[in-house]
Amino acid sequence: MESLALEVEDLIMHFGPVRAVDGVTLRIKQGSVVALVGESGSGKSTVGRCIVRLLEPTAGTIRLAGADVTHLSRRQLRRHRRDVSIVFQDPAGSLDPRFSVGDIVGEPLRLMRRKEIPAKVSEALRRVGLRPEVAHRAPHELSGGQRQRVSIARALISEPRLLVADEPTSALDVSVQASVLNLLADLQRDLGFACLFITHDLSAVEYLADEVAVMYLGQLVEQGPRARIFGAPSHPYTQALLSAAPVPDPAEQRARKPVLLGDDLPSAIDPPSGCRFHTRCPVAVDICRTVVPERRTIGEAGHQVACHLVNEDGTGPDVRLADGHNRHQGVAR
Amino acid sequence: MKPVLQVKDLSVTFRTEDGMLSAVDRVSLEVGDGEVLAVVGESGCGKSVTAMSLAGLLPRTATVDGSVTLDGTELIGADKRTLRSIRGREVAYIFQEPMTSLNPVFTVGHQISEVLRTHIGLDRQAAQARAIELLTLVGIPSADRRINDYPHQLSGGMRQRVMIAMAVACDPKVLIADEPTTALDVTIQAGILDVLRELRERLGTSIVLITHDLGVVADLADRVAVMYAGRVVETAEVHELFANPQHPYTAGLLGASPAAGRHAETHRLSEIPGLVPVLAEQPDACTFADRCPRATEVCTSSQPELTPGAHRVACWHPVRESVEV
Repeated sequence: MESLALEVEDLIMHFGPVRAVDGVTLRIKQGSVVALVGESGSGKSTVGRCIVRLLEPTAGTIRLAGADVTHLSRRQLRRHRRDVSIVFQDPAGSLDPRFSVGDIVGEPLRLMRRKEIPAKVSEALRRVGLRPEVAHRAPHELSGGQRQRVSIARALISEPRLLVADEPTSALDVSVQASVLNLLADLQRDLGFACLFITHDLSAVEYLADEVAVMYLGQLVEQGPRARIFGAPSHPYTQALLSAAPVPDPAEQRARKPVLLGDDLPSAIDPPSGCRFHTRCPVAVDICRTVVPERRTIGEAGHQVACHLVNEDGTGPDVRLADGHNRHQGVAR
Repeated sequence: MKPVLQVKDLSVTFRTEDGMLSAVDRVSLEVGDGEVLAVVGESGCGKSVTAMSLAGLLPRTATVDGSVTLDGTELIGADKRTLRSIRGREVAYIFQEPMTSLNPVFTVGHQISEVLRTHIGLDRQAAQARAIELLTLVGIPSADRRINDYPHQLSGGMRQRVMIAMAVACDPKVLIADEPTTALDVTIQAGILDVLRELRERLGTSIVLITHDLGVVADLADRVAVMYAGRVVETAEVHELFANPQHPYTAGLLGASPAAGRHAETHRLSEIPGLVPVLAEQPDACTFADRCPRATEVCTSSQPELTPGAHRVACWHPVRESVEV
């Protein structure tokens, strides 16, 4: 059996009445990239924060390379923090403006002998394409793309087994996004860390991920190999999500018909009964409203779907073809 | 086609604490009747400043030169009364974040009615009825109940629909949409793009779409103007621009977006090295030269002008694809 960098079992994270994450099970193999996609409020960032243990889960277990870290104390956590790092969306907000870049990047090594740190910092900066002199600068002197490189250098300096990248390119311009995505791909290949790539940007997912997990309202609705999810998605929500993301090609884009789901995302305080997606699903039937769909492995290995309407072989309704449901939220005719 | 909105040699400079800042440099644009013109570029390219200057929304620290005419009426330097009669009525705006543009203490029905009563002089009842019509038009179900909702009771997508309903309340000639879907999720975005498309088709509204998202451009635009460091560097019909980008910056932007079916194992995204310059004044040079793989001496010593024709490019060494005859 392949060794796992991360095992998340039935993860639950409630904030008071808000059921942000409600039973997520996820595995990441050593050295592979799993993208966690979903829209605002789906709970994807909360999953990331539980994994690096910025949050203590309400229930469930999180194992890093086999070790249970679910309820470790702050002290105990310190050791595990070296094994897992996080990069956030907004590098301006996550880098402390009072420290120099060198201090920020070297901070995870503060338990090491002092003398050895500067060399490690230079090496880490070089690896992310920055000159070692940048170590003496303050974060605000750098551009957004450079700051994100600093965050990445800091995250990787302790040689973690797992990197959680939470929307690492969403605040950046397209051309800068490209260089950060290229960098992450290079580093991941060279250093071999596992990565949970949290994003809503589907084109970046296709570029970077080996596997894709799709979240909706605190739960995973589908997960599987990249080619399968992008080529033949089974869950109606995955299908709708993929059809809605516009592609930068006018001829192709205009031939597509996005599945419109309606604007009202149900609340995580009082999620819908049965399948949580039924209120927006164009093909929902009675059972969807009452019975919670189980996660089942269908078709090829590693492809799991939680939908009543998907058959054992992975076939099922395709909401992209279900005409008449389209544009029901568009302009009244 | 006679342009509804014509921008000629528009320049905008700001006085800032760090001195002058040139944000827009001699930008010329035309928007035809019922046309969707996308203005594309990255942060700091001047696309939003251009949009704001179209109806005098810039702060006092801005110096604006050039000309903006709407159906023949000059807007630059126009007095307050002229501007007030044009804003909202002839030119309407929608912004990225609908929550900050809506007043939280009034119902959405009240806010739409207010527009109608102020600009068109409808009475309370007629304004209310028209508000319901407008909300239905932008795809809000059971609009007759929704008009009593406060902004916080609506989802982000619904709020943006309300903003659009308000913007088109007076049947404006031109709708300026500044990153209208950037704050929204893709499944919501698709609906908003649909509404804009339908407005253009049904009401013939011209739309200036300000965006950084090439997917949104590909979906909605008829024509595209690409901006870089305050200048328009390329403009063309949308299919032509994507198939046949001529400016190295446009080509770089297109190559930088991950395409379907591409994975890092076998493909590499094209990067544009360097940073967008922050300019105190516009140099007599191509502002993209120091990041451009095709730059030569002439690029740093002389500013390229836009070529004439339907596909215009400001570049000394344009990328000529063999597609062209």
